[in-house]
Amino acid sequence: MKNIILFCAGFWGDIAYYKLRKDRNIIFFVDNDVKKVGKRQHDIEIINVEKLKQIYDDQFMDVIICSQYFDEIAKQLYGIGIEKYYVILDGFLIPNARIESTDNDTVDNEPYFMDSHDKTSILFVQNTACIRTHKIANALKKCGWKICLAYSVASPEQSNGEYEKIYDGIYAIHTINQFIEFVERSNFDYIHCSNEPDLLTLISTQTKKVIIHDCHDLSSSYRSMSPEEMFIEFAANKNSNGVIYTTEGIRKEALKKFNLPVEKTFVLENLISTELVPSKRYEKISSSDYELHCVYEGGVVPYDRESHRYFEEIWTRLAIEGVHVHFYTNCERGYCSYLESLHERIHYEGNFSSKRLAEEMTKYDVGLCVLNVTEKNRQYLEYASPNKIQEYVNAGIPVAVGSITSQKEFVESNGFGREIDLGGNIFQQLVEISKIKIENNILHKRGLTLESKIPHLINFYNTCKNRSFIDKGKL
Amino acid sequence: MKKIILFGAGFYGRNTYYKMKNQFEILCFVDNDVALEGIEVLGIPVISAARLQEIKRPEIDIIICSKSYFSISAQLIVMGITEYYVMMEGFLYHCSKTETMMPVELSTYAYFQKEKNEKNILYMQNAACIRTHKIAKLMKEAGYKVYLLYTLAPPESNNESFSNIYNGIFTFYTMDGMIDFIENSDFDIIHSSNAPDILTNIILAASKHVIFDTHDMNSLWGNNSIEELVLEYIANVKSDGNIYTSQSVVEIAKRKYGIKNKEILSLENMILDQEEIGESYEKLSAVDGQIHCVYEGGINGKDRESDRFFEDLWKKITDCGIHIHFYSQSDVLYCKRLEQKSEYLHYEGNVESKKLVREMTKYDCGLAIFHITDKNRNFMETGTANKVYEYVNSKLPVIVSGLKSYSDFVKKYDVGINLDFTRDIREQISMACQIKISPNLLKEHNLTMKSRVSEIVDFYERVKKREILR
Repeated sequence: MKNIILFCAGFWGDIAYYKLRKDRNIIFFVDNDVKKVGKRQHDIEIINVEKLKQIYDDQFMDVIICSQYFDEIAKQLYGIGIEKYYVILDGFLIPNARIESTDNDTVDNEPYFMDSHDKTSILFVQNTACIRTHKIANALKKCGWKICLAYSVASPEQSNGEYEKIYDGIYAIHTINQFIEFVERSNFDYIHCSNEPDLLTLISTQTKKVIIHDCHDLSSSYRSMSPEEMFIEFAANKNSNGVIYTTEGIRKEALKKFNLPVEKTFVLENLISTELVPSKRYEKISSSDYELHCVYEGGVVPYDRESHRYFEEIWTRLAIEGVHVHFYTNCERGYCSYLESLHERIHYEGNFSSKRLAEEMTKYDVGLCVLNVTEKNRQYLEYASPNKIQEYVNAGIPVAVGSITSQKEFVESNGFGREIDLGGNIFQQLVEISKIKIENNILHKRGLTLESKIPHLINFYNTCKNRSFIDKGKL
Repeated sequence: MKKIILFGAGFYGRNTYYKMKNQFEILCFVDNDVALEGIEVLGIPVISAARLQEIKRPEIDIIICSKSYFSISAQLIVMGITEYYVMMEGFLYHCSKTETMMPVELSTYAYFQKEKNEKNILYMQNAACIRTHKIAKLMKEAGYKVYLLYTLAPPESNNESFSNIYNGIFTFYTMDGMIDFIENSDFDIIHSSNAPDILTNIILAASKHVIFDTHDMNSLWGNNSIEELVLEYIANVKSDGNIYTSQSVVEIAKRKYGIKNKEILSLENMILDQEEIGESYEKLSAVDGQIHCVYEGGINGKDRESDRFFEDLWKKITDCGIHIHFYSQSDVLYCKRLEQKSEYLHYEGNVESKKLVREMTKYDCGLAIFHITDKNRNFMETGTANKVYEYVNSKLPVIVSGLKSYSDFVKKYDVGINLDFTRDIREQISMACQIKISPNLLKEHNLTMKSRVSEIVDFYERVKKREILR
């Protein structure tokens, strides 16, 4: 590829910028938004289409459309005589049909990963690596493994800076071909693919490596899927050498759904790492103002009343009954301000790294895992294993859960908290929960930390590898 | 499952009807489109969703036949119906309070065992199209036993006359069932036709020889999801042999997917065999002295970007006082509206292909002109449509325009002209009508499927000899 022009300076424009800036010369952003034109983004000028027409020279420049409305933008490009372009589609660089060259032109000449084999090596694969992936990678690194990461959308640098440094190598996925070749020619012992999406697992299973599919979400159980996605989920679960699920319930459903032998599967809950034990504890806010302060950490979703993360109504009710709700989230700020404006007892506290958050949360009386349960999402929630319950316990605060049986059983059997009945006296119930004492390091003592599970995980990887030599077909 | 109700009377509902009607009692369709309420679809009444309340359950099962199955399931749950099925691309899933989208295999199948010395091919497609049927028919005549596996709908749903060419027809309701059946059955070759590419991807899990027949290279249209692109990639790269519809698509596939050392066949969408037209009709032009063109094929009135959106192009022709007669299976209401646009436009209905061959001899020339845009040009340039061969078979000169692949074809065989819309249209078309087409032209130039039989047989046999490398 030549000099690069990124058409659209929004989300996907940023993604393309971070993925390509090290190896390519990005000369301009183009945008149709008059408010953006003339400004600079990452110190690169944003120009409009008229300017693009003047400066474009197909000998020296390639245009990449970075927008989900690529069809419309393609028409604009044809309109100014540009017939060859690329589209960045879910992170993959797709040449349009006028580009005759093969993938080779667009592929980075990334070095393949070659290791002397004194250490076990593993490649984690995900569109944007999430916290679960980082945590597993980090725990394996501590066991002396070499850990690398391949991403198709956002690098840790862009998404989760604190984890960038743990990897021995980070690789961008640009095209299907390039990724398959990279995996095939490298000598990783294991390829650990995390969904969503399932697509990267399907691509990885086209190689002869040992593929472990880490099924964070069995998507078909809770959202509408296209026929293609249904097949890809099936293939990711079916054709991998081993599959990891996040709860026993999901494993049970998957065994039936995909007709899998149980030996091919493993359950690894969303456990937290012993590293996250808070190194300092704050005084409770309630000890100075004598009011009840609850905390929520995690995603919030606007508008969608079917989402389990739609909190407008629940939090307003809590606030009206006299409960303070403090929330930490990395979701869009504008919406957080809106939530805060619903009631004076709703407080947006920002977004912190996991370690810092654990310390922050020691200020509060109760952790909230009271989600917006609807008939549609109930089943998904019964299967899910929300990290936040353990994170509250880790911070030494008791937990209030909603009407989800699996969560209720988990907190009550462990003495971590109780279910609250939203139809009853909410304030009184939360006061009762706040009196529950959480012992220091209780998660570790109960074997509920990631570290306590890692030896079993390593054993599972090993079994998958040994069996993959026996399985001739990857069926 | 015995008695069923199909929620959705559209494309998926109708296909499900054909797939299930012989084994299950289909009571009615349910649809949220009020326009359908009270009418019959395929002879089955359509009722409104509200009336589902009256249905006795659990003796009657509901199957959602729609891509937006999640919103319909929400509708059912509100009505207190928590148990139902979803049919998607021919695969069936069960949903209840305790499970979501759990595959259900209704087919009680036995593995297929071939007879001694039998040479066979299993054709596979969601709903087999005419190209697949033609190839199967020829292979049967060449001594193979031919079988069909469909997922979406059986041949009787759209090409009933081809139902009886197969030695056996199979269908499944789950991906797992399909893989299990093929893995353990005795088929020499699986010939898998797209679109979609899903079936080929499913079957690549079996250790059998898989041939991928690309009817439509989806990515040439340029508006695909990443899932579709990956499935296309895998189907092209991992199959044991590939068939494309023209040499130019072969070249594109080789470049795009780096395909080498592989058996590849280019097989155009030609007519099966040169049809005897019998006695030609008298030309309409001989009676009224005017020019009469014919178009046969699909028409798209909804999408102005479609290659089959003809309103503007045809207007330029009818404005010169030239008649266009069109035969189409497309939306009747639109065809009738289109006809109203000019006294020179004539909608002739939908005539079965055997009859059409003779019917078309009434006219002076055939139209193979498409609405070309920046977007569809790439795709359109990759081959020539079946209709070109059909016009030639009816001894009609062919009018093409603006596409190199088409104009090369008419020039090479001297069967028509490339119309330049900027010059005198009437003069060019009158000239074209003078071209004489030899009655056996297609046969003489190997431009029928039949003339390619030995080449196809050789291809199958070469693929069979290869080691499966997946």
